[in-house]
Amino acid sequence: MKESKVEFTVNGEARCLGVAQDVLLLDLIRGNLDLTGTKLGCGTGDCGACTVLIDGRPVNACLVYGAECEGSEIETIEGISQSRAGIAIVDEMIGADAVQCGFCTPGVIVTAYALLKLNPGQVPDDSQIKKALAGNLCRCTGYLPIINAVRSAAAKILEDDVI
Amino acid sequence: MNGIGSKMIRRDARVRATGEVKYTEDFVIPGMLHAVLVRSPLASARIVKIDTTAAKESDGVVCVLTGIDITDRCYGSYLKDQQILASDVVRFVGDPVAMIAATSLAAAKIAAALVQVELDPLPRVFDLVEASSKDSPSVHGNKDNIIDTVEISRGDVKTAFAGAHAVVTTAVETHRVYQGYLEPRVAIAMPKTPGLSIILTTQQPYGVRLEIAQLFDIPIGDVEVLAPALGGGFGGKLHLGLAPQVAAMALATGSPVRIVCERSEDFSTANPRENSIVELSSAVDTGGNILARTCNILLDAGAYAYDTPILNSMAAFYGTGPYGIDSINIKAHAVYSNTCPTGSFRGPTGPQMVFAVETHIDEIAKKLNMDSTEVRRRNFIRKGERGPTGDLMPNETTVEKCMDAVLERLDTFRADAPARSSSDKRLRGYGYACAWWSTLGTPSSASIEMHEDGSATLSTGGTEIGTGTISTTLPEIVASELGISLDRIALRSGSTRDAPFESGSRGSRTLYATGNAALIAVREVVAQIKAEASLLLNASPEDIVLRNARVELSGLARQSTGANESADRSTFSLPLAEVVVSAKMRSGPVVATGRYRAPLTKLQGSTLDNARFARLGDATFHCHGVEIALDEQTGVVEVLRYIAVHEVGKILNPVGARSQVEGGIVQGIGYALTENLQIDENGVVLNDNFHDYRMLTIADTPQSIETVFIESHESATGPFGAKGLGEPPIILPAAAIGSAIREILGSQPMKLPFDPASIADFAEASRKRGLQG
Repeated sequence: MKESKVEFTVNGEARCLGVAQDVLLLDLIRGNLDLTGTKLGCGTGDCGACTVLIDGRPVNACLVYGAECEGSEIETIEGISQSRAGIAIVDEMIGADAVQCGFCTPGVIVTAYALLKLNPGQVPDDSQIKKALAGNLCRCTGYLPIINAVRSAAAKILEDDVI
Repeated sequence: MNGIGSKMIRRDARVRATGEVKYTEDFVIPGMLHAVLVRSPLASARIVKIDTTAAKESDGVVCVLTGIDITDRCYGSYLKDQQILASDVVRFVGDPVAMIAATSLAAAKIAAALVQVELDPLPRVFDLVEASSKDSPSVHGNKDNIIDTVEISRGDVKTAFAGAHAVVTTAVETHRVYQGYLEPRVAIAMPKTPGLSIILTTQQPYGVRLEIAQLFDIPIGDVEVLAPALGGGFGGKLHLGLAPQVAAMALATGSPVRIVCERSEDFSTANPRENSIVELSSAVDTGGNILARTCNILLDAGAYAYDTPILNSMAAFYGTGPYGIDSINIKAHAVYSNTCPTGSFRGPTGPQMVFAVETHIDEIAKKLNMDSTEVRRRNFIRKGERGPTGDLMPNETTVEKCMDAVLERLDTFRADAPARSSSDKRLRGYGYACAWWSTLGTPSSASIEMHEDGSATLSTGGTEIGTGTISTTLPEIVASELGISLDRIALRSGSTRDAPFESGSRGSRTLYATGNAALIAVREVVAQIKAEASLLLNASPEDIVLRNARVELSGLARQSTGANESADRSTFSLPLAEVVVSAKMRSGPVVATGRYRAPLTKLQGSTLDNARFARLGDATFHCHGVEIALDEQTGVVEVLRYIAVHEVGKILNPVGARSQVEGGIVQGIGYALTENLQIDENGVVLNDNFHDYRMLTIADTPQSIETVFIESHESATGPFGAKGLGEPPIILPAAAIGSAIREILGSQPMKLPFDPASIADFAEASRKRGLQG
């Protein structure tokens, strides 16, 4: 397969990679960049475990070719969990006992982060949280702790003005 | 005690949340080959020829194996009936027949498509009833498909039925469901000298080690199985997974080999919960007392036995539910078919047995025109009675308390049901179900080693499946006994090289059995520390306490020796570290291994034929209640509010316990309403992805789940009185939802799931019956 050069930023750092045209963004992130917090759950875009942000919007990295990401800003759990808002979400997820096996958790946090980033200055209601996270499957928690964690993280972020 | 009984924060939560922790799929071994399996497209066929010539010549391919290239030994935890690669006959769509290892996954996939498999179709059987009949095509050649039959009997069933006021019969049929762990099954095998090292998504590393050692004739100690962070299992990672295949390839190539089971492959070839048919008959008197019960159970094992023979005994055991019945005859049969092998799924056979038993109780009440609550009250098993296998109930049985708590809450649900919009024509219904369950007491071990600085290492082969028991609750138990803070406990767990034998994460057993092993170990370590301190402080060991990282005379002992605050502190209190070092130099390192196996209580009064599961361990009791909205036109059932009441002894980690309940309920609602693994007329799985196989999403989860623990009956044998909780929450929702549908429609379907099409048809039929009546 033909290789091409792709330039993008990952967690704020400029990257230039030679990639075959059929290589998925997920494999670039996990393989070439060794950022394994982004998980391969299903490979068909149904579970959300591989959620990353492309230009601020949550995307299943298993459905995107690396070559499509030319010029994009990509954020993964490794970057987001270091940001102030990301730390707030991680803390609330832990406090709410929303982390069991943890395999879906990075994807949930990335999606929740995007929800809060894209709706600054407000605490989303339950229906907004459910709509945003409907593509992130979790088999352990039954979801109620996740809803609580996102709601309280939003309140904290609003209070501390960290977004 | 430190955190025991209060809120514990999971020690491993942060590294999981931030993606730092490594799951099996995150391991990359230098020089690693990538493997894929070539699987049978037919459900039943003789293998005529497998041509691997083109595959072997394909770019990047290092090795191609078929069944004739490797050991002809078979594997299976209860019955050795499965080849690593089928060499003669394939028995389900997905049975592996060849394996490719290549330098990249892409190269392996290209080569796999080049393997030519010539098959000669054989007769096949997919239907459970047909498979169990004498005339069925035989899945394993020249014999019938009944793998295992268990029979439990007691009393004079015949006479009781002959003289009964009424006989009520209920038959239910249940479906297949998939565990749905988010982490795919992955296996990596690496040759080592001597032996083999395997990194595996497993709930049971020691069971895998045993079978791999047997398969390849390696001493058990030379096989190591490493279980990194586990992304859910729910029973689906109890079996060997793809370890035999990847081990065969690693031994053939001398290289590390990895295989990642694709999600569609996993849906089609893992070990879903078995479909089943359960028929119950009860002889009852005019007062609703159950005099006798017969029960016949068929479990679909699929093409290979896996652990269905033991699940068969569990199903039989649960044929009475938490009711005391004097005369019983219960038979269960595990049956081969040409479908994907089934196996353990959280609470094996529980959901269908609770659904069958509780629906049957409701049918008895209907027949007698009695309140079903009253029928339950009259028949609940009580202290001093014996369960179906003759297992004595030594303590108060709390199922009635659980039921009363649920009934009370359902009354308030009815009273305060929120007003509906005029467009919401859905009917509200309320239902509940009761159950009991076991805590598996199979063998466990754990070791504690004290270090020179007064910190400790807890080593256990137990796997942290996501409940927090291994990562947090066990270290909390150890810390509290040693009188040190949790951050002074290092944990080594999950691999066979860390610790002696451990039965694995299954059967609601980890807190109970591994917890007991850890408690025994730490108490032995405490005894060693006290023995040393008694020499240093010139005191009797029983006057010595461990607290705040010090070893000191108890307040009482201090008073009696006249030591006071002005005395030299070292005469009555020493740093733990100092005592540990002193003990080490005087008598040896401070270290102990705890070994545990729950007591095998005496069974009495029943005849057991081939029963492999006969004791509850410590019985747990449960009742769930539900509020649903049912749309008669579309057949859609929505769970609005849920109340779960559990009696599982002492709760050591209240937040973690609640989380187990909520997660189990949502899985159980999926089982009842939306999840259904289906095959077409050729045995091909139709919904092999998370889009077509519908697990509940965050948008579908009930608006509230209330969890209540009744701690009145504590375990006599669990650590601090704790019993198992992992499985029970999933076993009740289908039965509870069924009873709510019954309240609305006057009767309920006897077949799961309650999917929209089935419910709409049933509602329509009920309406017509009503019009005719």
